[in-house]
Amino acid sequence: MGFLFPASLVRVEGWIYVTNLSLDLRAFGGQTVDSQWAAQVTTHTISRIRARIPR
Amino acid sequence: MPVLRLASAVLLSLVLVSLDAAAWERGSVQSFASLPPGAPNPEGIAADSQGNIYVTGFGPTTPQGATGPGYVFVLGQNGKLLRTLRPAISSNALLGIAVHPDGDLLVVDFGQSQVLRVDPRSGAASIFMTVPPPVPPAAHGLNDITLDRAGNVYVSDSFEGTIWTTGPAGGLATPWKTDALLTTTGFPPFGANGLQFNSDESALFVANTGNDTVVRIANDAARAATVFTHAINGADGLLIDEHDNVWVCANQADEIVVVDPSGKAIAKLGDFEGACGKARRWASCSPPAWCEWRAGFT
Repeated sequence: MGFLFPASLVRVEGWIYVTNLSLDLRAFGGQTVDSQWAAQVTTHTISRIRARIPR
Repeated sequence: MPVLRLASAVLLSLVLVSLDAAAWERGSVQSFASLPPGAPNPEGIAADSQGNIYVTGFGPTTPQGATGPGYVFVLGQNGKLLRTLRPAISSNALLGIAVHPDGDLLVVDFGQSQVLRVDPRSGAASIFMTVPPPVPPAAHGLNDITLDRAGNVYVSDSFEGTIWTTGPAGGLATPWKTDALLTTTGFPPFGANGLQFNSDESALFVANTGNDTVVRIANDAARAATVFTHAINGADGLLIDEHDNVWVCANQADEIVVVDPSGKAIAKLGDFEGACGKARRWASCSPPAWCEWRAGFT
């Protein structure tokens, strides 16, 4: 499902876990490219991706 | 003319080879967990030695998180929600989180400018670290947290451009480093953010969100700060692997940027796949994947 405003990450074994902050920054005084997408989120999610650097 | 054609073809092939070498394999981002309906925005994340995942909630923009206490969600390795902690003395704006060597959680309470020690099972909380009152018009912006191998604690202050530190037992913090490179006039309006030492603890690396930079601070008597690398769009949380590659959340680019010890990008991982996810690009995408992504939207 991808990332939306990825904020923090932690590595556990072979995975990187990432919080999708999905924050609509218009509440903090600025339009960003993700603001309207973030405003649509009703269920917040945590994503993960393999801790592997493609070669 | 044939020579010119040949030269053009060679040039074109070189350009194509160059473009191919510059392409990123972004990997496959998986959905790991969904927070309960109405949960505040997930911000900090940490893991314990059993692989349980702890996620803080930043609540000011959500109805359920509009007031304290805040939220810490505990997830199992399978992504299932094990429990929700509500540290009674916390505000609704929790950010960075780390696991103390004794097993308790250390949670940055942005809203109250302090760090809490939180029992990972009961959520019982006490104050672990405080900072001196800011000198007006300055304001604190405690954000992320890390520890060194000795158990000393370091906390970034996004507004004052300071890294605060305290010992393993906590208490009143002292400024470890204050520098203009840790402040910002950019947007999002957060300076110093994610932070971690490299493998030999010779330097602390700090993301600056509003400046799109990672700052390197030498861990010696002088503690000189320099820009390690530029142009990571919304540099937020970071971690450093065993090869001293720096993995940075680019919160305004919806990706993770990995840079090597020279500061060169060696990977860009993930992306925002849109409200329709990959179904927009792949007509054969199965309905469950579509529905899973759509479930996160109105």
